[in-house]
Formats: sequence, C-alpha cells, structure tokens
Amino acid sequence: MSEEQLEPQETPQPIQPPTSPQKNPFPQSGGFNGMQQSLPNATIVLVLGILSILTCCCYGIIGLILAIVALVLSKKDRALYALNVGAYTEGSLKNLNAGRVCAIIGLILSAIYLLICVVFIAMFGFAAIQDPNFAKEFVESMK
Amino acid sequence: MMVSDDKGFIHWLQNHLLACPMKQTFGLDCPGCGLQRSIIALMQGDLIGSFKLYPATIPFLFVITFLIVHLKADFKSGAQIIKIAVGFVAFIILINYIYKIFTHQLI
Repeated sequence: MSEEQLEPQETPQPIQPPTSPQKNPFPQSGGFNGMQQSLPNATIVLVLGILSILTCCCYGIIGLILAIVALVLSKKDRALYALNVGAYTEGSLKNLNAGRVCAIIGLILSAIYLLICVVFIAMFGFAAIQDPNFAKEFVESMK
Repeated sequence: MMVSDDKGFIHWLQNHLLACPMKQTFGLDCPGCGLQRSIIALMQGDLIGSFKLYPATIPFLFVITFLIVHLKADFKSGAQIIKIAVGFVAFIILINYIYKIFTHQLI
C-alpha cells in the first residue's frame, strides 16, 4: 500500500487550496491517484492520542504504549505528507497533528505516573508497599 | 459510595467495577481513581456528585463525543478544538491529583 503512495504524482498541485475529494477540480486521468486523499493513519493517531490520556490503568503502561504507537504512526504519515504535499487533504493533516499533540501530552502524563510508581517502590521496597497499613501510615506521615 | 437497592444495569455496574492495580498494590489512589464511580453517578443524573468524584469526567466525555462527531462530519477547526480540550482535560487530571495529595484524600 505504502509503495504506491510513495511514488511521485504525475501532476502534484502544491498551491491548490484544500478541497474535499468531491470538489476536486482536477479529475486526472490517473483516477484515484490524482485525487486528494486523507492520510492513512490520521484517524487512528487522533483516537490513540486521546485514549492515551487515560493514564490511570496499570501504572501508566497502557497510556505509554498507546502514546508511543500514535507517535510512531504520526511520524510515518508526516514523512508521507512531506514527500507528496498536494496528494493529501489539509483536514487529515490537521487531525494528524492534533493527534500527535494529544499523544505527547498522554506520553508525558504516563511517564510522570510511571516514574512516581518506580520512585515509590525504590524508596519503600516492594514488600513494605504491599502491606495493607502502608497507605494509612504514608498519609499520616504526610500530615 | 452508596450501593443503591434498585436492580438493573447501574446496580450491576456498581458491583462490577474494575479494580485499580495501583490501589491493590499501593493502597493509594492513582490519578484515574474515581472515574468509574463518577461515570455511574453521571448515569444516575448526579452531576455534582460526578464532579466531586472525578472532575475530568464530563470534559473527557465531551472530548470523546466531539471526536466521534468530528470524524463523521469533519469540522474545519475540529482538530484545534480537540487539541485544546485534551490539554484542558490533562490539566484537570493533574490539578485534581495534586489537590488530592495536599488534602490527604489518597486512601
């Protein structure tokens, strides 16, 4: 799939304003290849980026995984877009960039959360943390 | 949280909440603790209770709804709105957790 999209277009239109595929004034003889299409991973990146904010699950590991997947996919798509600017819709690029920003926020939050967990285990030891009275004593000690 | 007597979906949900792994090992709340209780409170129509349990629920549900509508309808500045809203949600989550730490509500 990516092999075809990486090939240069016959007539790229870099100055052309963003239009939806239906209104494209240049219905090339190449058919599908001449139309502006959305970036392949824009939607997935946006969804993963937003879901990565839910860092609460499993010490932030799920949020980290989602954010990293979103960032890798968005990097791929940005390279694809830079290779062939006229071929993809402006809207999908905006979605991709928004997803990327969300993924970065999710990555930072998850990383902070994971770091706090690791620091906790390093400070108190795993056995002490599993003690049911640990939380109560810890909160008492902070007062 | 009070478990209501009425039977039905909400009652079933209240008895089948997913346990937080952090709560199980550390005994302390994680930054996401309260989300499920907050959603159930919202389903019961208790907006204020939902906000008190987890302030980020309502904005987060807004983001999810807006994302679905945006992916269908493709708004012109939809991506920008999503970006700002997600930043807002992350900010609320952080502030909520810091507030919990300093008011000793972590248990």
